[in-house]
Amino acid sequence: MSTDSSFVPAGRSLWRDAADRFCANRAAMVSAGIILVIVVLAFAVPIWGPHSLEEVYWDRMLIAPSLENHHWFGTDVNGRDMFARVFYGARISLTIGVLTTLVALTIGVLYGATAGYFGGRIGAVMMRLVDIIYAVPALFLIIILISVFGNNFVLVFVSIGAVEWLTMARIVRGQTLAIREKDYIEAAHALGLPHTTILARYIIPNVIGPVIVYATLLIPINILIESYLSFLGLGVQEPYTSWGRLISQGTKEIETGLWLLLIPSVFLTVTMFCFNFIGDGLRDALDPKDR
Amino acid sequence: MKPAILNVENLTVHFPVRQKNTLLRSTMSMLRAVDGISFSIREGETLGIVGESGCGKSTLSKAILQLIKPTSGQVVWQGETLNELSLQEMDQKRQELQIIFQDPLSSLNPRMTIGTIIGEPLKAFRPQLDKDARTLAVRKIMAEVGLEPALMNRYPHEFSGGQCQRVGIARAMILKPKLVICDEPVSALDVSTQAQVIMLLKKLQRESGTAFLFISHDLSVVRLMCERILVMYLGRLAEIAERDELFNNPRHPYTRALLSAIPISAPQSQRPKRIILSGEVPSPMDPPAGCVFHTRCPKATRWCQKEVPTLQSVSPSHQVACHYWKDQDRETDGTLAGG
Amino acid sequence: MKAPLLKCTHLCAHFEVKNGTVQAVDDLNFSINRGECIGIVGESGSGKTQSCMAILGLLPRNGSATGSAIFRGQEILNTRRKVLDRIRGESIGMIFQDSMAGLTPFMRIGDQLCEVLIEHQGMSEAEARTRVLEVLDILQFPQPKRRLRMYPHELSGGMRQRVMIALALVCKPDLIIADEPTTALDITIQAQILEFFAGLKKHTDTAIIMITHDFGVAAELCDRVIVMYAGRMVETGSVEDIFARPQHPYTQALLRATPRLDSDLQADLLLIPGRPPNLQNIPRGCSFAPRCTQTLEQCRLERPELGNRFDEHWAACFVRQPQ
Repeated sequence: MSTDSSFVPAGRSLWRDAADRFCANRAAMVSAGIILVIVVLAFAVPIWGPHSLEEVYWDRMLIAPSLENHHWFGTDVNGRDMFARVFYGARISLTIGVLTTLVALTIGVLYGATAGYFGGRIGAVMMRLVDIIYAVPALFLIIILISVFGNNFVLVFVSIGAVEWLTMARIVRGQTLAIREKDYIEAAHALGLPHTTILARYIIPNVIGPVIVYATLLIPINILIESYLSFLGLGVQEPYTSWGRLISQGTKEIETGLWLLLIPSVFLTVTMFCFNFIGDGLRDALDPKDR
Repeated sequence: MKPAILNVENLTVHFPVRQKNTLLRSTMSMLRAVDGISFSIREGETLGIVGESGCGKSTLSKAILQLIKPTSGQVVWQGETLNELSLQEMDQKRQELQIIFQDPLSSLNPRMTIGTIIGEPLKAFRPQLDKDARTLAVRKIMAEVGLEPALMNRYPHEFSGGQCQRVGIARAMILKPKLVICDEPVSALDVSTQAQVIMLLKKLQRESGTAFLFISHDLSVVRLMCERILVMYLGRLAEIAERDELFNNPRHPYTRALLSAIPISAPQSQRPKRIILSGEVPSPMDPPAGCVFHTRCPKATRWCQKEVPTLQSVSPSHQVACHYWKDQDRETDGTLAGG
Repeated sequence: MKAPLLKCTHLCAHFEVKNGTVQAVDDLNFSINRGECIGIVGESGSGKTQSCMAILGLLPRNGSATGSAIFRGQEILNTRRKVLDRIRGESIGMIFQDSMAGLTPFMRIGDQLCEVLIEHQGMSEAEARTRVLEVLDILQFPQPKRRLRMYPHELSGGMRQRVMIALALVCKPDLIIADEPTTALDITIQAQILEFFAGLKKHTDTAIIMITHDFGVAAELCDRVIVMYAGRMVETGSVEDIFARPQHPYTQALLRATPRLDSDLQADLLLIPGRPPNLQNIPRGCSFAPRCTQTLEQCRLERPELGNRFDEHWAACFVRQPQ
C-alpha cells in the first residue's frame, strides 16, 4: 500500500494561510499599526500622561496646542488638557466600538447559526422576529432605550449591540444554510453528535469568516454611532468623555478654538479609515479561493 | 450461512414538494425517491447497489442510517427496528453503522486536523479513553489505511483526493463498525487513485469482517467489490443476484442495458451489439405507471404499462422485477457475457 | 498526402503562479486529418485539457502558450482575438465537460443556439431556428420545440450535454474538441452520446479530438490515441496497437489499473505507487520515473524523446518492451 508523502511542512490551518495573506497586505498592516499605537496611547496617556483629564487650569483656558506645559493638544474652554482628554476619549470610543461589536457578534452568530441549522419552523419564526425588530429604525430604538433606562455607560453599548446583532444574524444564517448540506455536517450527524457540538465545532468555525470582516467594519460604525449619541447629549456623561463628546463641544468653539474640533475629528476619521482598511484586508485574506 | 444483520423491509421515502404552477396556485407533489425496497445484508457480506442518477440510492443509504426519516417500511438492525428507536438510542447504535462519502474533500471539516477528524468517533463513543489512548488508536488506523501517522496534524486541504478518502475510510473504520455504507467512494477519483482506494477497501473487507453496502453507478467497480448486487431504477428494485449470476445471466432489461452500456476497454474485436435505451430517466416526481422502466424498455408491452411487476425468483438467490424475465434471450440482444 | 486539418508542433503551455511557473503542457506534437478521431487520454493534471485550451486561445490570464498550431494551413496559436473568435464559432467546436458552466444561465437555450448562427453565419432568426431544430433532431433531442424555450438549469444533465454538443455542431465545424463530454453523465446516457459520436464520425467528415481519462471511451470512438502524463506526451499510436502492446510503463499501468468487466477477479488491480509530480517542479529525467517499476539509471537523468516502436506507434521511454 503506497503511503503518500506530503509536500507541506507542519499543518497549516486555513487561519494561518489567511493570516499570511493579511500580513502581505500593506494598507492593512499599516492601519493595524496605527490602531495599535492609538490603543497603546489610550492606555498609557491617562495613566502616565502629564495631565489628568479633569484637572482644571484656571489660568490656561483655551490655549492653542503648544509645547509649553505639555499641552500638546492645547486646552479646552474649561482649561482642561486636551491631550489627556483626547486619549481618554479614545479609550471610551474604542471600548464602546469593540465591545458593542462583540455583543452584536456573539448574539448574532449564535442566533443566526441556530436559526440556519435547525431551519424549518423554528428557523422561520426566529427570522421573522429578526424582520420585525429590523423594521424599527435603529437610532430611534437606541434613543428610546437610553431615554427610558438612563444614561449608563454599559447601557449605551448594550442598546447599540441589541440593534446590530440583527444583520449579523442574517449573514450567519445565510452562511449556515450554505454549508448545512455539506458532507462533513452529514458525517457529524452520522456519528450521532449532539446539536450543540455540531454547531460549536462544525458550523460556527466555518461560517465565521465573512462575519469577522463585517465585524471589523462594524467597529468604526459603532464609534460613530456613539459620537452621534454624544452629539445629541445622550452618550457618555461628564467627567468621562469620548471623541463624540469632544467633537460636540468643539463645534461650539469653532471661532475661538478650532483645535478643539479638529483634533478629535482627525483621530476619529483616521481610526475609521484604518478599521476600513483592516476590514478590507481581512476580506481579501479570508476569501475562500485559497485552494 | 451467516446471520443477517440488516433487514430492509419495504422501505419507502417520499418527499412532499411544493410546485408552483402559476403565480398564485401551487400543488403538492410527491418526490418518490425510494419506493418499497427490501433486501438484507449478512454479517461480513458486501452488497452492491447499482443505479444511475435519480434512482434513489443515496436517499436509500441515508434512510437506512435514519439521517432521513423513512415514510414507511422498516429498517431492522440486528433484530431492532431502527425507525422506532428514540434519538438517543439511535445515536448509540451509530457506532456500529458508519458511512463513507463520495466527495472526499467535502466530507471532512476544513477547520479540523485529520487527527481530530479521525478521532471524533472515539470522542463520541469511547469517552473513557484519554487523549493519549485516542492518539494511539488514530495513528494505528492511519497506518492501516496507508496514511503516514506523522500527518495527523495536517488539514484536509493539504491532501489529495485519494488521501482525503483514506481519512474518510479511517474515520469510518476506527470503531470497527459492523456495517459501512460506501456512497460512491471512488467516483470522484482518478483512475490510479481509484485503484488504490479500491484495493484498500478490499483489504479492509478481507481483514475486518465488516459488512459493506457499496453504492456505485460503475458496474466494473461493483464487480470487484461485491458478492451480491442489487440494481435500482427510479426508487424500485429491478434485480438482485449474486455477482457472477448477475453478470452472466442478467434477466432485467435495465440490467442488460447497463451492462451493455459500459465502454469496452478493448478495440473493435469483440463488440456485441449495444442496447441503447431511448429517452431520459423520468422524474421521480412523476414516475410512470405500471413498471417504471416501461418508458425506456426495448421490450415493453401494454401489460408493462398497466401492471407493476412483483419480485420473482429466478433462483433462490436471484430475484427480478420484470413481467418477461423468462423471455430474456441471450442472442437477440447480445448482452455482454463477462468472465 | 493531404495536409492535416490541424497540426500542432512543440505546443507548450505554462501558468504564472505566486511562487513560480506551472508547466502544464510540455512539447506536444500531433496532427489530425479530416474525418479522423483521436483521443487524448490522461488523468487530471496530465495537461490534456490545457493543451486544447491553449490551441483555442482559451487559457486564463496567467497562462501563455508557445509553439505552433496550424489549422487549415493557417497559424492559429496566439493569433488575434478576432481571428480566433471566428474560427472558434465556425470551424472548431468545443464541448466542455461541465455543461452547466458552458451555457449561459440566463439565456434560453434556443436563443443561445440561434445566437451562434446569427453571429457567425449571418442567418436570420428564422433560418437559424430551422437549422437548430435540424441539429437537435439528429441528436435525438426529445420535444425540441418545447425545450428551446427552457433555461439551462431546467434541463437534466444529459439534455444539457446534448445542448452543448448542438452548440458545437450548429455551424458545421471541421473539427470538434470534446473535453470529457460524458464523464458527468449516467452510463446509459453516455452510451447514447457515444453512439451519436460514432454516427457523426461515420456519416460526416468532421474530425474529433476526444479528451478523456477513460480508455474504454477512447477505444470505442478513436482511431488513434495520445497518452499524456504530467504535460508530456508519453505514447501515441493506433487504438488497437496501444491496447495490444502498450509500450510505455504508464500506459501499461493505466490499462491494468482500470477495472474491466472481463478482468480476473482474483488478481488485484495494478497499483501505481506514489503521486503525479508537482508541475511547478518537474524532476529531472523522465517525469514518470519516480513511480515507474521498470526504471533504468538513464531514466532519472535524461528525458526520453518519442521513439518509433512500430508503424505509427511512438513511445517516450528508454525501456524496450519484450515483443
